[in-house]
Amino acid sequence: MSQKPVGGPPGEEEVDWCLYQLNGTTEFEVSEADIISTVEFNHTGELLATGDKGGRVVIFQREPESKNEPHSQGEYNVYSTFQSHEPEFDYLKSLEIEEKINKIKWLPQQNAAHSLLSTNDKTIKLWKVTERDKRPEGYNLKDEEGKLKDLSTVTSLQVPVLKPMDLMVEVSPRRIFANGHTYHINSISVNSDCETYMSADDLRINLWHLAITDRSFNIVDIKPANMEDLTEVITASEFHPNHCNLFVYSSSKGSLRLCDMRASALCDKHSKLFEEPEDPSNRSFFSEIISSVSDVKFSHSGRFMLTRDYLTVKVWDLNMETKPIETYQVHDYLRSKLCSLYENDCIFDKFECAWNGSDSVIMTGAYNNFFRMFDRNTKRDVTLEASRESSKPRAILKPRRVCVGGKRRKDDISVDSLDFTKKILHTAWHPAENIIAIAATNNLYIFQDKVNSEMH
Amino acid sequence: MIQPPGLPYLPSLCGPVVAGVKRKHPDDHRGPLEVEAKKESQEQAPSSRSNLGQTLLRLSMDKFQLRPQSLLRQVLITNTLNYIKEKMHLERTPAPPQEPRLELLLPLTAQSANNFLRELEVILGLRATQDEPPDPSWSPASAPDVSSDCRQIPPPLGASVCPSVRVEEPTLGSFETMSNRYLGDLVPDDFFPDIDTSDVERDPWPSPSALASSYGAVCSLEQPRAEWDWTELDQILEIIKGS
Repeated sequence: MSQKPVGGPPGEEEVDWCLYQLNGTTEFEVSEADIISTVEFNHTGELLATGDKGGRVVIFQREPESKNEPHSQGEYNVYSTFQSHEPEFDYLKSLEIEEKINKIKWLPQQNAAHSLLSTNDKTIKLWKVTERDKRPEGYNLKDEEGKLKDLSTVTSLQVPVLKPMDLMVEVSPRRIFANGHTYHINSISVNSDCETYMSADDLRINLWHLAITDRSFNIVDIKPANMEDLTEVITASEFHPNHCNLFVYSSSKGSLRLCDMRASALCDKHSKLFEEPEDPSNRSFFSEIISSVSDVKFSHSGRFMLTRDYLTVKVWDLNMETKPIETYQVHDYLRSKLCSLYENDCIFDKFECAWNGSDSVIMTGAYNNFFRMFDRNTKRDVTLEASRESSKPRAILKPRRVCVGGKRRKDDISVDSLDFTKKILHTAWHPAENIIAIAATNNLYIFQDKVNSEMH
Repeated sequence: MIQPPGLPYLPSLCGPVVAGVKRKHPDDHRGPLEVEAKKESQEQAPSSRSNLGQTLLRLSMDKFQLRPQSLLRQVLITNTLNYIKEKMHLERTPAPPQEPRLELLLPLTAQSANNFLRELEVILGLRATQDEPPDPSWSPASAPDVSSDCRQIPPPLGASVCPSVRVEEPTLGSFETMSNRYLGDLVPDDFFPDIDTSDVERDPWPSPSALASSYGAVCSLEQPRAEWDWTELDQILEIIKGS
C-alpha cells in the first residue's frame, strides 16, 4: 500500500490532516489516574467525552462560530468534568474494584439534556448532562440563597422571573446499574430502540432497560460448568446500528458471533459465526494471542463489521462468514518481535478501531504514538503520529514510515527505535466530518482535515 | 528507563523496546529472546522452537505469579502454555511406525528395558524409590544442568498456579511425569542377566542424560533426543513380562 494521505469521503480520498487541538499536560511524569482510557463522540459530533483511569469523565463541546474569533468554530473546549466512579472494595471477594472508566457511550439525544453511560469493571452509570443559563429570581417565600423568609416580612406578592446567568453545566447521576457482572465489563452498547442497552464482561452479556436498575437479562453466557474447561472469553460486543434484535460479540479466539434476540431469550447459540480458517503452516506459539479480537464495530450502514486484532484490522461483510472481505496490516513488522512483546505484556494491549462517517476509511492505533488509516476504496494507507514535537498547530501532518531493514530514508524510524510505552489504544472519528480524536497516554489530540480547518 | 504503566519491571525486556536508544545490532549482542523470536519467525529447526517454548514456559509461569490479572490474559496465557506443551510433546515423541517390526519393537538392551520397567513400577506406585541405588553413570559431570533445570519445571497447571488454568491429566510421555526423582532413579542394575538379549541388541541405549533430555525436553536445552516412543515401551513390557 502506498503512503498517501487518506481519510476523505469517496471521490476526495486525499486528505491532509493537521493538528487542531491538544488537551493535556506537558509534564514528563504522567500520573496513572490521568491516562485516558476511552474516547467517544456523541451522535452529532458536538460533544466529545473522555474517561480516564482516575474514574473521571471530561466532556468537550464544539464551540459555535464566533464573528470575533473566526477560528474558534470547531474547537472542542471543556464543557464539564465530573467524577464518574470511585475506587471500591468487594469485601465478599476481597477484590479491589478500580475506578478506571472502561467505556463511555452516548445515548441519542431525546430532549435538551444529553445522557451518557459510563462503566468501570463492575458498575454502569447513567449520567444526565444539562445546561442552565438562567435562574429564577423573586420568590415570595425564599430569599436569594434559597432560605425560607420570615413570613412577617412578606408584605406583597410578586411574580418570579428568569434572569440570565453564566452558563452552568450540571451533571447528575440518573441510574446506577450495579451487581450485574461477576467478571470485568469490557463493552457497553446502546440499542437502536433507545430503551435498552447491553453490557458484556469476559463470560456473559446482559441486557438492561435504561430505566430499570435492579434487573437485567442474561442474553449470552459462555461460562463453562467447570472453569478448568475455559478456553475462550468475550472481548467486545456491540448492537447493530439499525436492527435492534441483532448484536455481535467477539472472542479471544478471533471469532465473531452474530446473535438474533428473536431466536431465543438466551443467545448462546449464535445466528452466524464469522471466523477465518487458520493456516496450520503459519501457526506459532503466539497465534492465538495475536488473533484475539480487541475491538468490534459495526459500520454506520450496518452492512459491515470492523475488527481489530493485535497485528491487523479486518472488515467483515455480514453476508460472508468464511473470511473477512478486507484485511489490513497495521504493524506487520512486529511479527518478528512477538516474543519480546509477550515478555513485556504489550502483546495483550487492546487496540480499538473506528470507521469514518461514510464507512470508506478505517482508523486504528499503534505504538510510538502512531495511528494508521486505511482507505477502503483506494487501498491507500497512511501512518501518522500524535506528537507535540512533530505536529505544529494547523500544520499538515507528515506521514511516518517504519523502516524494517534495508535502505532507510530520512525521517524513517527503525522498528527497534519504536517506543512501546507510547501507544494509541483509543481513537474516535466524528460521525459526519473528518475530525478525529486520539488518546495518547494523558493527552487528547484532535486532528482535522486541512480543508475543514481552513474553512473555519 | 521508562516502564509501561502498571507493568512489572522486566529489565531484560524493556531494553530492546525503549525509544530513542540507538543501538547496533550485531547478532552476538542481541538478547536471547530477540534471537529466538527471529528464529521462530523464520521457522527454524525444532530444537530452537523447543528452546523458545521453554523460554515461553518460564515467562508464562512468571506472568501467573506476578500479579492478579484479567481473565482474558489468563486464558490467553493458559492456551499458549497448552500449545507449547503440545508442540514439545510432539517434538519429543515421533510418530509411531506404520508396520511394527521386531527390530523396532525391541530396540532396547535388557538393562535399559529393565530400567524402564522399574521406572514404570515407580510411576505406578509398585516400587519404592528411596531404596534404589544411585546410578553411577548419572554423574553431575555428565549432565550437570539437567537436574537443576528440572527444578524449574512448573507444577501441574491449575493445581497451584491459577484456578482457571486447565488441568491436564498427567500421562506417560508428557512432561508432567518428569521429576527430579524420576531422573535420579535411573539405575544401571541388570535384573535379567539370564535373558539372552544379543538378538535384540541393535544400538547402544543412549546415556541417562540423553534419556533424560528425551523425556524432559522442557528442562534440558542441549541434550540429544532419543528416538523412541511409549507404544514401543508397552510392547517391550508385554514381551518381558511374558518371558
